[in-house]
Amino acid sequence: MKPKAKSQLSAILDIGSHSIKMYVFELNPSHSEWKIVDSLWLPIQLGTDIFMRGSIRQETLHNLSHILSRFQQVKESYHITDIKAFITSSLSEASNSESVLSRCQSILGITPNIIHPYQENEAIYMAVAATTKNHREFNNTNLVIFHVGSSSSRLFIQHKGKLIWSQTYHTGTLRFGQFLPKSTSAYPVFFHPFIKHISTTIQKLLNNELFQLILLNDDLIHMLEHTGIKEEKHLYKLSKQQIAEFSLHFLTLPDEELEVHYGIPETTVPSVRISLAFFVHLLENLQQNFLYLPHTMSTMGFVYELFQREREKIFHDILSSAMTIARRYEYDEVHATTVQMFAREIFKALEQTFSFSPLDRIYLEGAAILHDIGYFIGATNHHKNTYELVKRSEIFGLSPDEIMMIALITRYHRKSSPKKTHAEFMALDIHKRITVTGLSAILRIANALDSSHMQIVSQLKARKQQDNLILECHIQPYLSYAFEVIETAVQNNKGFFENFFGLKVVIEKR
Amino acid sequence: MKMPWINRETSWIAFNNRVLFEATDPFNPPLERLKFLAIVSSNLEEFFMIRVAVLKRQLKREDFRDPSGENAKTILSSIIKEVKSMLKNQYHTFYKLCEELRKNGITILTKSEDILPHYEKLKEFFDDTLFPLLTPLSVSQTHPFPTLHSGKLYMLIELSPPPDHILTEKPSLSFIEIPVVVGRFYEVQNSVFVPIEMIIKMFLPKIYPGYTIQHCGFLRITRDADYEHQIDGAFDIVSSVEKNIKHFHKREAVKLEITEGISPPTIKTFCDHHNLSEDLVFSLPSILNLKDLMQIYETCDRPDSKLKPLEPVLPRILTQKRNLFSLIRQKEILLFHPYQSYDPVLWFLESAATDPDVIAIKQTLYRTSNDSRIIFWLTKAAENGKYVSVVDELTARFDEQRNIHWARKLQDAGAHVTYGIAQLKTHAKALLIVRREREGIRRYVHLATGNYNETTARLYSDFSFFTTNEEICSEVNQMFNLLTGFSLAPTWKKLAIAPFNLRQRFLSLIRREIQNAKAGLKAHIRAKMNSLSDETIIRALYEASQAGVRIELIVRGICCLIPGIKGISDNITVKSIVGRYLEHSRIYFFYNNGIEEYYLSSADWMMRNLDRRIELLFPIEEPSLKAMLDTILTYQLKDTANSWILKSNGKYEALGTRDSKHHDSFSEIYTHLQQLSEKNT
Repeated sequence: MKPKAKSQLSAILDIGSHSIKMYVFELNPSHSEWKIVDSLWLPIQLGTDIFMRGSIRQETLHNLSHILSRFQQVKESYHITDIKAFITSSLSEASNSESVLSRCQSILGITPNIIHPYQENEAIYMAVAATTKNHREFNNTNLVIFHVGSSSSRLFIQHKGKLIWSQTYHTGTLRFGQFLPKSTSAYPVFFHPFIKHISTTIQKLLNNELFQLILLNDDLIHMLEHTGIKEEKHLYKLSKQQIAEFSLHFLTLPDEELEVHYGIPETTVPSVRISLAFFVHLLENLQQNFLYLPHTMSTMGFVYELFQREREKIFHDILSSAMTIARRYEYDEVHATTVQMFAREIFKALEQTFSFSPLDRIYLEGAAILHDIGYFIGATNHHKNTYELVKRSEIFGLSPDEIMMIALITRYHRKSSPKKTHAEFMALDIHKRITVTGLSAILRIANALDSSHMQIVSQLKARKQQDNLILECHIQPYLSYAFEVIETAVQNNKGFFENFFGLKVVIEKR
Repeated sequence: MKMPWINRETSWIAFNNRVLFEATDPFNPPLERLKFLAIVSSNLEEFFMIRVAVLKRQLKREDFRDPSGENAKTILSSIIKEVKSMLKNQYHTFYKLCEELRKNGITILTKSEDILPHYEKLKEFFDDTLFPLLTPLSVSQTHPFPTLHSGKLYMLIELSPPPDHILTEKPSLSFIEIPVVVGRFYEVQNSVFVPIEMIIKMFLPKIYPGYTIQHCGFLRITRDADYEHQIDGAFDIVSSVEKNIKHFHKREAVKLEITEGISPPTIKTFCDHHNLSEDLVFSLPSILNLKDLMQIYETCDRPDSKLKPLEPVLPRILTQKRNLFSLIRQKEILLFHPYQSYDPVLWFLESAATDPDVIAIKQTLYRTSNDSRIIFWLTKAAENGKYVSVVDELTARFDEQRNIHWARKLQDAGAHVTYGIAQLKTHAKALLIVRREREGIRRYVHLATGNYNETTARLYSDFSFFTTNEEICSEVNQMFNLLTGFSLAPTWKKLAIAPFNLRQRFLSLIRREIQNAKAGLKAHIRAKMNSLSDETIIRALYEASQAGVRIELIVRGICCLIPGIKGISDNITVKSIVGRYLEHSRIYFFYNNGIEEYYLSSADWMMRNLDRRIELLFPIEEPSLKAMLDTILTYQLKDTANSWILKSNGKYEALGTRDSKHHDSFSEIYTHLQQLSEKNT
C-alpha cells in the first residue's frame, strides 16, 4: 500500500488597509480541504496614507519592509515555497504603490496579486459561505450579507439559499470617518442615504420577505475575540442591544482604554467605532433584532480564490446574478430563458470543434439572459441600450473585462456585426474578439429561433453534421402555422453565423 | 478599615529565618546545615540588593505607604533590626556548627592562631598561587577611593609607610581584593579548610614590605541592583544591558559588612564616601559572606554528613522507550522534578534537534545552567538546519552576562535570538516543537513551572508538562509569535498569559468560587506558590473567605496575607514548606462545584508576575495527571515535618519535627512517585 501523501504547506499574505495578515495552512493533496496552521497579523497604516494623501509615506513603507521581513522568517520556519500575496485594487491606486509591490518582491520573492473588487466579492462571499454552510438554520433561507471594509463595502443577497445579488459600494469606514459628524445624534441622518438605499434594494429583491442579517468586518471580529462572547460553529450571534452597548463604549471611552479592554491595536479603534455606529443604525432601519458575524476573516476567502478556485462552482451564482439584474429591467423572462436554452444547445453542438471553454458558455448564457434589457430604456436600438446597461452592471463572479465581453455579445445580437471602427470591441485582445464574435453569432440564431417571443419552437436539438449546423426545431402543434416567421428570422440572421463558423444553418421542422 | 497585611520585607525576613532554622535542625546532617547557612547569606544578599535598595529610594518619597500604612523609614528601620538579630543567630549557629563539623572530621579554621600550624603549606600556596593574583589599591591624593565591586570580599589595611619612604604621597589606606578564581577556601589538608583571606592576612608583610600594619580587617559592600534596563533607541538591548552591567559597580551602596580590625574613623570615611548611613553597616564576628560555605558542602565527599539523595525516578514507559514524540501523542506526560528525572526534557530537545521531521523549535530562556545541555541541543538543532527561535531574557537579574553569552553562541550557530517585549520580562517556561508528520503539521509543547536549568532542576521542585493538545499548542505558538514580534496578541482561551489576561483569569476563578459559596455550594481553593503579595488577589481571597470558600495556601516565602482573622480570613490557612528541596512549583486548584480544575503556572501571586512579566498559566485536564497533582498537594498539606503554619498574629510556628511521627512530604511524595513509576505509566 502506498504511503499517504503528505499535505502541502502554503501561505497567504493579505496586505490590507490597516493590517498585514499572514496565514499558513495545510492543503490536502487533492487541494479540496485546508486547515490553518498559523496566523499572524501586524498593524500598518496603508489605507490611511492612501486615503488622506494618495500615496504611501516612507515611514509606512519602512514599517511594511519590517513586517515582511518578519513574515519571511515565518515562511522559512515552515519551509514554505508556495506563498501568494494579494493587495486590494484600492491600495494599488496609491501613486507609489509600486513600492509596496517591489518590497514584496525583494523580501518575499513574490509579487502580490492585485485583487479587483469582483475577486474581493467572491472571496468575501466564499469566506461567509464556508461558515454558514455548517448552520442548518441558514439552509434555503433568505440571507443578507453585508461586509464593511475600510475603503469599500459589499452587499450580497441570497433568496432561499441562492445568491441573487451582489453589489460593491466604494465607501467604507475610512470614508465614513472622513465626514462623520461630531455629534452622535446626527449619525442617523449621516448614514441615512446609504442605509436607505440598502434597505430599498433588499426589500425589492426579496419582495419584503423576512431575512437573516450577516455582517462581516475583520476588525470587529478581533474585538469580539477578546470579549469572551462565545461563538457557535464559528458564528457569533449578537443582539441589537449588544451592538448598541459596544457602540456606546466605543463612542464614550478613550482610545487607550478601548485598546486595553478589547485587546485591539490603536489603528483599528476608529474603524471599529465607525463600524459599530453604522451597524446600530443599519439594524434599526432593517428592523433586525439580531445579527450574525462569521468568525472568519475575508482573507479566508482568498485562500479559496488563490489556491482552490474552480470557476465552475460559481457558474450558477453568476447566472443567478445576471437574472436578478435582468429582472430589475423588467425583461421578458420567458423569452430570455428560451433564448438561453437555445443558445446553450447550439453551443454544445459547436464547443468541441471550435474549442469553446465552459466559461464561454457562461458568457453566452449571461448575454442571452440580458440581451433585451435595453428595452427598459427604449425599443429603438435596444441592443445598444442593453450594451450600455450591461457594461455598467456588477455581475457576481465576473471581472469588469468579462462583463464588457457580455455587453458586447448583447450589442451584437442584432443589427451590426463587430467592426474595426467599434472602439470597445477593438480594445479587446484578438482571442477575446474571436470569442465575442462567435458567441454573438450564436446568440443571433438563438434569438431568431424565438423571434416571436411566443416560444413557437418548444424544443431545439442542434448538431453539427459535416459543414452544416442542423437545428431540429420541435414546434408546438397549434403554432405550426407560424413556423414560417421563425424560418424567416433565422434566414435573416444566419449570415453572420455562417460567415464566422463556415457552417450552413439548416432548419428541420419537427 | 485597613486590609490585614504583613509587610512584604518583614515576611521575607521571616522566611529567611525559617531557612536559618534548617541550619540549626539536628535532624539535618551537619553539611546540610552548612549548606543552609550559605543559602541564608545568599538570600540576604539578594534581599539587600533589591528590596532594601528599593526602600532606600522610597525614603525620599513622603507619600509612600505600604498596604499596612507603614512608611519607608519605619519599614527600613524595622528590617535593619531584624537582620541584625538574624545575623547574630546565623553566626552563633556557624560557631556551633563548626564545632560539630570538627567532631565529624571537617574543620574550618577562621582564627589566625588556628592556622599557624599549617604555616609552611600556606606559605607555599601563597607564594605560588595567591600572591601573583593580588593587586593592592592604595588610597591617597592621586589615588582616589577605588570602586569596590558589589559582593566581593576586600581586605582593608590601615598602614603607615616606612620612615625612609621617598615618595611625597604616603598612603595610609589600602585595599586588596580577595581573588575568587581559586575558591574561597583552601583545603590545606584533607577536610581542613582555611579561608584564603586569612592566608593573605598572614603574609601581609610580603605585600607591604616596610610598612607598619596599623589595622587590618575585611569588608564587603553590597550595591543597589534594582535597576531597569532602559532600552535607548540608539542602542540595541544587548549593548544596553552590557552597559548597565558594566556600570553596576558604580551604583549606590546599600550594605556594608565589616569584621573587627577596621578603625571607626575609617568606617566613617568609607560610609561618607559611599553615602551610606551607619545603620546599614553590619559588623560581623567572623568570616564574611557565609554564602561561600557552599564550596565546602560541594567539595566534601562525605555522604554521612549529607542527606541521603533521593535518586530521581522515571515512569517505566519513559525508561523503556525514548521516542518521546510517539509517547506524547498517546498520552500527556507530567513529571515532578527532582523526584522524577529531568532527563526527559533533555531527551525531548535532543530528539527535536536530530529528528529530520522536526522543522522548527521555539523556546524561552530565563535562567540556564553553566555548560547547559539545553543550549547544546538548541545549537545542534540550528546547525542541523532546523528553524530555532529562542526568546532569551537578557534582563534575568544576576544572569545577564550568561544570557548574553548564550545569545551570541546561539546566533553564531544560526538560531534566531530575540529578547521578548520591552519592559516585560519573559518568565514563561515554554518549548514548542513543530513536526511534519504524515497526517500534517503537529506541534508538541513542553511547559514548566521551573527554569530550563539542569542544575536547579536537581534542587528545586517543579513540574514539566508535555502535550500535543492542539488548542494548547496553537496558543503557545501564538505566544511565541507575539514574543518574537511576528504578531499582535490574539485571544487566549485555554491558556492565560500575563500581562494580558492572567490577572483577570485568576480573579474570575476566585470569583467563581465566591459565587458558588454564596449559592450554598461547596467552594474550595488550594494554591501553592513561592510568594503571595499582590494586593488585588489578596483582597479577592479575603472576600472569598468571607463568602465561605475554604482556602488552603502553601506559600514558601513571602506571604502578605494574614490567615485566621475572625470575620476576614477565618477560612484561610497558610503554610510554608522549607526543607530538602526548594519548593518552586506553582499549582492552582479550584473546586468549581465538583468539576475540579488544576492549573500550573510560571507565575506567583505577585504584582510583578501578573503585570510586568510574560507568564503562562496552563490547565492540566487529563484525569490521571490531575490525580497526581491532587496527591502531591495533599501530601504537602498534610506535611508536618517540614512545615510552618502562619498564625493570625502574623508569626510562623513550626508544625512538627522530622521524627518518624510526623509526615514528611518529601519522602512521601518520593515513595508515591516511585510506586507510580513501577507501574507502566
